[in-house]
Amino acid sequence: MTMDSQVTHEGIASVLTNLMPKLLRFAVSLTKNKDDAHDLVMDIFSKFLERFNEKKEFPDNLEAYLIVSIRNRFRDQGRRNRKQTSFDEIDDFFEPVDDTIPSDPFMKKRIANAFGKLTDNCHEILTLIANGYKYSEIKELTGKPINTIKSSVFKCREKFSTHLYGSERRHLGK
Amino acid sequence: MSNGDADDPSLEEISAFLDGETVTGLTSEKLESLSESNPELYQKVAEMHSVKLTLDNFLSAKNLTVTNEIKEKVLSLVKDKVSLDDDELIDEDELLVSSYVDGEVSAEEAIEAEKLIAESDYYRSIYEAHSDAKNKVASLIKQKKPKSQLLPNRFVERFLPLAAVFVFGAFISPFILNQNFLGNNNPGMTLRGTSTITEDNTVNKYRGMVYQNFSDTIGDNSTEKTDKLSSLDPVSIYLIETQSVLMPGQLLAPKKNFQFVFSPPYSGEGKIFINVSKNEFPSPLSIGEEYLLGQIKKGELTTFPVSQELNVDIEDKQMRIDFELENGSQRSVFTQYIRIGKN
Repeated sequence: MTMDSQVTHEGIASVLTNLMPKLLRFAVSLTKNKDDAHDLVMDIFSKFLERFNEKKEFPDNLEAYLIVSIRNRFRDQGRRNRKQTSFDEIDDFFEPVDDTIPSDPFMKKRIANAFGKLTDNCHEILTLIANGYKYSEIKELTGKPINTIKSSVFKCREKFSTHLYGSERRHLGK
Repeated sequence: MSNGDADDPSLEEISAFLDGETVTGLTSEKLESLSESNPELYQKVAEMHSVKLTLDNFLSAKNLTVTNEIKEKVLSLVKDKVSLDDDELIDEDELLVSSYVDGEVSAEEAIEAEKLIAESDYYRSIYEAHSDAKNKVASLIKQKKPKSQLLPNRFVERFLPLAAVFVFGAFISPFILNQNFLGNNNPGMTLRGTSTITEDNTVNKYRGMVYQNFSDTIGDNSTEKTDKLSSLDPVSIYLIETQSVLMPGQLLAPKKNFQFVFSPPYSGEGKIFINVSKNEFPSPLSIGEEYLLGQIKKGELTTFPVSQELNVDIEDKQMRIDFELENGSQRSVFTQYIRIGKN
């Protein structure tokens, strides 16, 4: 994707900020800390912009490019020793979307706690699924086989359900 | 984990199906049919669907926008990292007009630029703004040189200095130079040549050499002579030693003294820009240092410098001359590259 002659700083910033919610969600699934997630995303933006300034063109799939960059950077840097923040605390980065949509803050907290008890792998995959990625796309982003992704999605949701609802859930017998 | 019948989809497959993935042999109708016949499966599918929706709502970034603070941070980062001040974002016509101000255009481009300036207020405003900026910068960097001012050192050191040379009209008489006038340190001395120089000795002789070199047939009519002068190239190089004009295609010999001679096609304020390079022609050579010629008249030959001679070094390979002439209604730029070497 080559640069349009009408590209401005504001235009480039708009493209990145539109992607930021997804990227922040994904980054939090890795870092478990909202500030680390923010720093990670901004760091990736910085690297991308340096590349863009040189080549003056966007990658064909910018979103996927940034997701992979975040993932790789996190793997390289590892997690910092910051206190783990709750997954719902990332809402601080977002504008309120629609005040008319009712939300149960207690339920939201329960959901956040249940999600927080899952493994890193579950965090990553469930976040990508929730943001519209297909299994085949997740395979491209993570390098994991589709069958593994399919299996992980199922197991992670099962665990999440157990954490959220406890022993009240009924299980099907084998 | 399976759901009973071996042909029935597994819970994992049902989970994938709920995510919109294609599962062989499983359709919405089949799943509905299976659920209706198996209450526990129905309950399970409902729970799976509910968990999926809960997680999707909790984790999805759909319809979310970041705060203004974060937007400002990203914009600041973009401005810091991305330079958009490059040529590809400048309008081509704006670039043309800007180059026209500096005389850095071909004849065809000059016509195009003049058309833009004449027909568009916008491009006219760019022309005026750039001209003004150029003049203002020039006034900061350079001081205007009187016509008689000597050239800076890098040319001066190449000079064969002439003491108290007097210019008759617009010409330096070759006769004077041949009189071994050099070394005379009496600045007040009247030029020996002035009392002996006649119209026939200098003006016609000089013009004759110019005309001869250009293979023109000269008539007696003075108007025709003026017209012939006008038809010459605006800039010629007069070679002192051989008293001849450098012909097209002829190399300028290093260490041989010369002067520039201008034949303006119309009267106006003249400027010359000179630059030399050790790079072989035709490697790029930028426009050189500016020297003001002052008011010069159509039909008259003007020399530069007035009271000195020039030469080029052995290492020099090419010289670029830009001659600019302008009056209230016309402006011309003439650029010439001279190859330096031995013929």
